[in-house]
Amino acid sequence: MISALTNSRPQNMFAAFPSYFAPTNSLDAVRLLEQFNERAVILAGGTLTMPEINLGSSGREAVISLDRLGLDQIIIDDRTVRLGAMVRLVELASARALIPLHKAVASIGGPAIRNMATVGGNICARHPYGDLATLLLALDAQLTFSTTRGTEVVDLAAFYAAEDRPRRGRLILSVQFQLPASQEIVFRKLGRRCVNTPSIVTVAARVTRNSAGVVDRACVALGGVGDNPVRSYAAEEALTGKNLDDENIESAAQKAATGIAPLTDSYASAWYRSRVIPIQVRRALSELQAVAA
Amino acid sequence: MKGTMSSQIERLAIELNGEERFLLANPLNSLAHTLRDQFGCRSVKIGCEQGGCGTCAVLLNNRLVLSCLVPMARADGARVQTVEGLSKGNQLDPIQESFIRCYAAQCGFCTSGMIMSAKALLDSNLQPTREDVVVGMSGNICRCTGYLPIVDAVLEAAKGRTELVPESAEPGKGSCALEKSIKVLDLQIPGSTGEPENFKEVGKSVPRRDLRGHVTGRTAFVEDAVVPGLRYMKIVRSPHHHARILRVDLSEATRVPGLIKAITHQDVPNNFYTILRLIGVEPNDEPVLADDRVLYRGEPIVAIVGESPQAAAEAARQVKIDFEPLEPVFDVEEALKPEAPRVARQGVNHFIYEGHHCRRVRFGNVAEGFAAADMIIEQRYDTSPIEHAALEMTGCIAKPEPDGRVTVYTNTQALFFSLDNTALILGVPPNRLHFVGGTVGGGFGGKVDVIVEPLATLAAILIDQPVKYFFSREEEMQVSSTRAGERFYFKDGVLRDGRIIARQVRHYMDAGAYARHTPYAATKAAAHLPGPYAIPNVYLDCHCVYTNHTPTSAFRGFGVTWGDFAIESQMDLIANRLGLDPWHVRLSNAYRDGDIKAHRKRVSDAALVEVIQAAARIAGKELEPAFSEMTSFKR
Repeated sequence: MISALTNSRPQNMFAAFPSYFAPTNSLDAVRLLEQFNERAVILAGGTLTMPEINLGSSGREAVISLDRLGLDQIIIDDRTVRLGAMVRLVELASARALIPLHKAVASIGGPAIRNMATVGGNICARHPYGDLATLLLALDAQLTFSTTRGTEVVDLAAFYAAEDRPRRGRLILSVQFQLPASQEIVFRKLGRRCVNTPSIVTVAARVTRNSAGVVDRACVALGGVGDNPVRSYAAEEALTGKNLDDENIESAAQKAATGIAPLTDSYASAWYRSRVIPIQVRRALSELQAVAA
Repeated sequence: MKGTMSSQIERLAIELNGEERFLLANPLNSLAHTLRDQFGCRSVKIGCEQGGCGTCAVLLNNRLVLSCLVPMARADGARVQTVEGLSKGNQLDPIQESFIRCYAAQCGFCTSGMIMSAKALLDSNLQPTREDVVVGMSGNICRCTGYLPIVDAVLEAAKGRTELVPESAEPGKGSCALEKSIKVLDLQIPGSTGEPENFKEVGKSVPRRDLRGHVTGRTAFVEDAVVPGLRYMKIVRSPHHHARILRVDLSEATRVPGLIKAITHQDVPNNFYTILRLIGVEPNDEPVLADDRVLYRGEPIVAIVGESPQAAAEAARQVKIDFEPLEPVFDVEEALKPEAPRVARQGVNHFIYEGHHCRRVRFGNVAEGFAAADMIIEQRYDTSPIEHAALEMTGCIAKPEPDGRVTVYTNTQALFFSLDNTALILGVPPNRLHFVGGTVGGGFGGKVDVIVEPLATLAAILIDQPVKYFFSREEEMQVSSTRAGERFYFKDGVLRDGRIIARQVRHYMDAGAYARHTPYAATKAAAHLPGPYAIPNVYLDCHCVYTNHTPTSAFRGFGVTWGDFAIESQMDLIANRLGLDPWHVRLSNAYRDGDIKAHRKRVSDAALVEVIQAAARIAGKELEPAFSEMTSFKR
């Protein structure tokens, strides 16, 4: 039966909702993105796009849903992991093979948000979102894009470092990375509450050591401090070629904020973030040290 | 490319609480609004429309989602469960029963979402730990209860569970948890069970009368009123903290399809608002809609009425306003300097208390007290504004009646204040207005200011159609009044034994751009500042200062709460500086029966001494005999 309309919002109002598109292949999707440019918005998990649509004040003309592109696959081949852009965070949390990601996933939102939010959304979302992205940055992840000229692979670090991340004609299909050993990675998030809390400072690091215990590679990413997650190259440099002892950890921690100007928002001031970055980095690296010892 | 664009309206189907339902909907309309508006699922509450609060949580294919974030395109063909589907007639789900038994709801606005989150948790976890429950419920905000009874209720409900429900079960399979529902709780609600009331309830816990409505989603909040032909109001607000308005251009906005009316200050019969003018407090400093200037970011300038919320929002976006930005002032002491930008229209940036620049209290002689003191202890305390953030947003629905009256359904905490103020602003006799209150979905003082009713009522009269004006969550957080931020400069003269013999406080309360309730709050602060302590010499200057902040107003114990923070911090500081026990310092100064407070109130029925003694017993703190034997009675 068609139900009686009570307080129903008028359904056929021009200017009521943007046009809805659900393309069935990625080429159609990127063509739409190119056609509408900034007048289009991508609908993935909906956690960021639906608020804009609900409020009705965005001025967007097109909503491009990724529902029918089949981007919800998790492919694990030995240690190479490829996550489709539409994989929901909850799927990562229930995949035993992806235990190294679980702490980062659990730190995001509440259960309902994790049931809806996607990997691609977390990568594209701006502060105060992007805790999984911070970990992916520490894992040297790469993004595969669909464009009208074919697919493109871009380092996540390069994607974030680009001054302006152009939306036009580019769609994230998947993110891929090498699965780290559990003792190589650490994830720490500082928020105002214990759970379901935006990041004040998130630290994700992957540190590999040779048999002598000397760090041969360090990748340190900070979230919650800027619009996007950033690499702390100064901390990485301070660790590389050194032992993971207290002195070197302290030195890396003190340098961690070099070249990074944290932001001020409702959750914490730039001043506060500057003060806690070294502390969080020191604690994160100490966790790795403890695991090894 | 062809075939990928959907038509504006699609024919969709969902399985709602076990029943197949068909509907016509725009694919981008949210599941939350569809469930409420088309299927009457009023348990689904709109608390933020941005996935932040959890009040609209439902199960979609047995998985917990926030229905405001689900476009109908994604719900097509899915199985949807709401609180309406949990109970079967009189038989409640064990989770609902447990929420009643544990008093796990207060205003009830968050309760449906809480129950659905609890169901999702218990369907996947038979023996949750307390931590599992905290994590499982962490997407749901409650501003009333403090969460403890809710966590208890979920843990208790878990005890009766025997089966898990697999996620993403196929539609139509049915939920096994529902079939296991235990026998309905005997509620023993007086008057509802047929038993006569015997008025012998003292010393007993009785079930709250409203809990059954809360756990079944049947409690009616203002937004649940069914008013056919509803129109929607959106406000164009100032992007500047302080600016002159040069020009308002409505030409683009009037071309937006679905626009019904754009209302400016010229349409408001008596364009000023001050809730306190009902009790003779002036000046009438706050316009309902800004005329030539704006004094805070978010100040309303134009009210737009549209056929849909989206059309109103689009028209509001198309209103073009030219501003000349002016220098703002945000600091209370900066605002009082002669060279400060002028905020208040009356010429000085502070409220005038019977001709004085502040609310003053003079008691004894502080100069003599300081001279006689062994030590002077000075400290500054600053506090921030706080938003109430009730889960139900402030709002009302104004409905013109055929007889010329207007019925206003409002969630105000001050029904007749709102009615009288609206009548004054509209210049209509109060008997033309019929205000209907009801269950308030959290207030805490945030729904005392009369902000939404005058504009909605005016619009309803102007277009002769019902108008709904609810804040968005963003407006609720940024534009609705807050608790005032305050600043205190304490100067205490103390004796070595811990007694305070003189206290001088310079106090500033940030009213924001307009008076609202803050002049009253500063008066309360003045009466309160000596604290519950007998101090013979007191000198207080309490300033109510205008700045370009959002106006501040009522909020649980406003005017005294921040004062208590400062007073008690000061007591600890005194103890610390003198090397004394902070318990003893408080008891040495505690007021007792017969003491005269600084504002000339004689103390009676004092109990501070006994309360501190009881707290000491609970805390295992041993007080010196002189203090443990004290009483509030003076012999």
